[in-house]
Formats: sequence, C-alpha cells, structure tokens
Amino acid sequence: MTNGHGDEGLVRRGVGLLVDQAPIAPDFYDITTPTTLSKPAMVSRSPVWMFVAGFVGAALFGILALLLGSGTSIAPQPAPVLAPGDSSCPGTDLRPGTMGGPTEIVDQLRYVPTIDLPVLEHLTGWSVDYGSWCHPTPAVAMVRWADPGRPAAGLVVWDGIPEPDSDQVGTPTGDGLWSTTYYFGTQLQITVNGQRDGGWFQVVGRGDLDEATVVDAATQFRATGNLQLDQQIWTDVTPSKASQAVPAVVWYLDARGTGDVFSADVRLRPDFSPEGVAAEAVFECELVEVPTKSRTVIGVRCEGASSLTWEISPGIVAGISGNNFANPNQIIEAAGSMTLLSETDPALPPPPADDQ
Amino acid sequence: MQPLEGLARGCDVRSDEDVYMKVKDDLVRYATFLVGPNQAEDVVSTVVLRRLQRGSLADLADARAYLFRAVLNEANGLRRSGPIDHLGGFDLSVPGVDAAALDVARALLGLPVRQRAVVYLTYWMGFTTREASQMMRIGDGTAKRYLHLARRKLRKALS
Repeated sequence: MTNGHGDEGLVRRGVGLLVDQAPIAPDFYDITTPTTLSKPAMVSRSPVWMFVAGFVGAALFGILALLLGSGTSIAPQPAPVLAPGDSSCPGTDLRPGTMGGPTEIVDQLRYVPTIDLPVLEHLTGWSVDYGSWCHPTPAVAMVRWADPGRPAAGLVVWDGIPEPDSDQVGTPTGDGLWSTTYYFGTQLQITVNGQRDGGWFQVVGRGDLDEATVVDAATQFRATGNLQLDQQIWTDVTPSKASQAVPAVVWYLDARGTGDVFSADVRLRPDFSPEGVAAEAVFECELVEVPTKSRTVIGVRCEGASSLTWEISPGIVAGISGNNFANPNQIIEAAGSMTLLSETDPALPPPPADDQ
Repeated sequence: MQPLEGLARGCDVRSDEDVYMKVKDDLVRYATFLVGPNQAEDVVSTVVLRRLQRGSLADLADARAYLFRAVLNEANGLRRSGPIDHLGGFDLSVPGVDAAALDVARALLGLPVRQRAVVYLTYWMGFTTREASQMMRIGDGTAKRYLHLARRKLRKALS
C-alpha cells in the first residue's frame, strides 16, 4: 500500500474475507410479492395474478393509511406522537431511544465523515432521522456560513438521497440561511460552490416531533478555500515579442482537494496583474494524470493554437482562472497565480514535488 | 405495502426478473461489503422494490449502475439512521485465515461507506477510478480522493 498498488493482493484478500460472507441474494418474488401473501405458491407468475396482488396491496396500503393518519392522504404529514419503542406501525424500525433527542442527533451529525470539505464537494449526509418511514417527521435544516453576516452564496442545498437523481431544494431565507423542510429519510446534499476563501459553515437542524419536542442540533464543517492550484507554466514564448503562439500550458491541480477539476475553458486573466497579459487566450485542455509516490496529481494540459499577446517579462505573476463545464450545475471559478518563466526553462515541468 | 406500478401497468415483469437475476449476486455482495451480511438482503430488496414502484428495471439505460448507486445511497442512509453493530454481522473469527488479510478486513470495516464503495469497485471489481466514479456518479477527482483517504486509513490501521 505504499504506492497504492503494492499491497493490492492483500487488500483484495481483506475485501474477499468480507464479501465471502454475503448471504444468498433474495429471490425476485421474495422482493416483489407482498409479505402478507406467500410467494409463488399463492401468487402465480401470471400477469393477471400479479395485477391482483398489486391491487390487493394497494387496498391494504389504503386501509393502513386510514388507520394510521388522518385518513385523507398518504403524503408525508407531521407525525403522531409515538412512545419510544412503539411498534404499532408494521415495518417500522422504531427502537427505544431512537425517537430523537439532542444527543442522538448530534451523534448523527458527527458521523458525517468529511471534515475538510473542498469547494465543489458534495457534503452528503445530514439528516434528521427519527420517527419512521410511516410516520414521517418534518424537520428543518438550515445551512449557513459560520461567519456572522456572511451571505449564503455558494451554499446550495440539495436533496435526492436516497434516490440517485437529485433536485435542488431549499430557499434562501436571508441572514445567510438556507432552509428546507424535509422528511424522514431525506438526506441533504450541500454543495459549496466557488468560495475562494473557504470557511466554516454550519448545518443546523430542527425537528418537530411534536409541539413539545423540538430538537436543535448543529455542527459545522470546514470548507477549504480555493482550489489549490500548484501550477506552473512553461512556454517557449519570447517575452520581448509582442505576440506569440503558445504551444503548451501545463499546470497541476492537487487531486486531494479538487473534487471535479477543470475540463475546459481555461484562460489567462488579463486583469490579474496590472501590467499583465493584455489579451486572453482560450486553450483546449485535457486531464492528465501524474502519479507520484504518495499521491495522484491531476494535471490539466492545455495546448492551443491560440495566440497570446504578452506584455510582461519573465517572473511576473499573471492570473489564471478556469471554469468547470463538466457539469453545468457546478460551474466554479478558481484563480491562482502563475509565474511565466523564460524560454530557457524546460518545455515540460517535472511532477510536483512529493509531499513525503 | 404499496402496489407495484410495474405490475399494475402490466409491464414486462419477466424482463424485470431477467435484469434482477443478472445483477442480484453482485448487488448482495456489494451491499454486504457496505453494511454487513445482516442487512444486505434488506438493502437490496428495498432498492429493487423502490425502483419497481417507479418503473421497470428494464427501462433503465444502465440498470446495474443505477442499482449500485441506489444500494450505496441506501447503505449510506442506513448507517446514518442509527447506531448499528460495528461488525454488521461479519464473522471475523474465521479459522485458517492469514492474519494480515484479517487485519485488512477489520480496517475496511472502519471506513466510511463511500470510501468502502470505492475500495470495493476498484480493488474487488477491478474498475479504474474513472469507471468507479461513473458508477457512483461522482467526479473522478472525488473518487480518487475517497480512494486516497481509504488507503491512508488502511495504511494507518495496518502500521
């Protein structure tokens, strides 16, 4: 494991130890047949019988809904008060102590594994999970930067778990808050976009199990700042010339902090340095991998036929910025400085220095 | 239990079964690795049933990838929904197993679900990180980061 591959066999054996204990996969009809009926003996594979089974299931569900709630809707509604351990709802996972107390909620919040959250990263996994699937409990989540007064820009709340397809939810409520009401089993994804400074942000939850039981819990996560550009640029440009074709621009992003990285449209920013680049150029870029001993570095190699007008000398810092268009919903900007080196420098840079 | 829309619509149940039969063993192994053998069946049943309530498995462009994602999401939710047995039903007192592999297995159980998932997809199923990221519908860089974190934790646990 020293290089991520050396002990691959050992890791595989460890995985195999666990995977070998997998139970036998359930039969298709064990899954699709309502549990109140026995499988194939009572429900044949005939589509007619399957339809009847579905119809009976619908009727049973309707009756269940009538018995449990107001009887007017099966949509999520505020939960009736249940005593801990109440198992009157078939199929629920109610257990004593899981009805939601501050300690429990905080424990769940602490479970979220990601602490250092880079920009672009989805923080999955904050939920108020109490109540049960048949007694959905409304809860409110608020997401805000920990800095007082900082606008909520950059924090976007999504739901979508457990379904793979996500929809954005939540509404900015002012004072740096995003708020959304959701129900048991819906977990939030929080996207931190384009925050160049990073910072701590908080997730605050409030669950109203009933009017007398309001649970507040909060945690906060660190969002690291800008993409850690570790870029250098080597070109064969002759600074004294007013205009040069730029055959290759290469720089590196540290894969440990990037999430989705640039895919296209990297440009020099003429406004980064007062005496800097007079015109911007757009390059075609591709991702390249540069393995080092201890980490995998994603490089973005940009080669373009674009011409670039230079009015700077070697050693002057210019700006570079990029957008990620791989996912239109995750457009980010990142900026960093780079140093233009003289033509005597090698055409291609060595890999970034190893951090070991 | 809600009725199965697929059944009510009279859709091709046989096709659903065919799709399920092709992926069921992989799904259960994957779920086992993520949540343990005690809950693996429930996880698989839940995600398949949920999908069938929405439509046919056969309608999915890539049913395997969809179901793998759904299993991961379900596993994630399960582990967050309350305390579960750390071992998840795994029996690590298997006689005759080499100690190093046993140590790795214990260390794997300490990984968060998503890191486990990437380890499974890359080390066990042989996917590249890019393929694993597509399977999980996350960025390639994110998959690499999960793998990096997992390796680091494994290395630390084994050192």
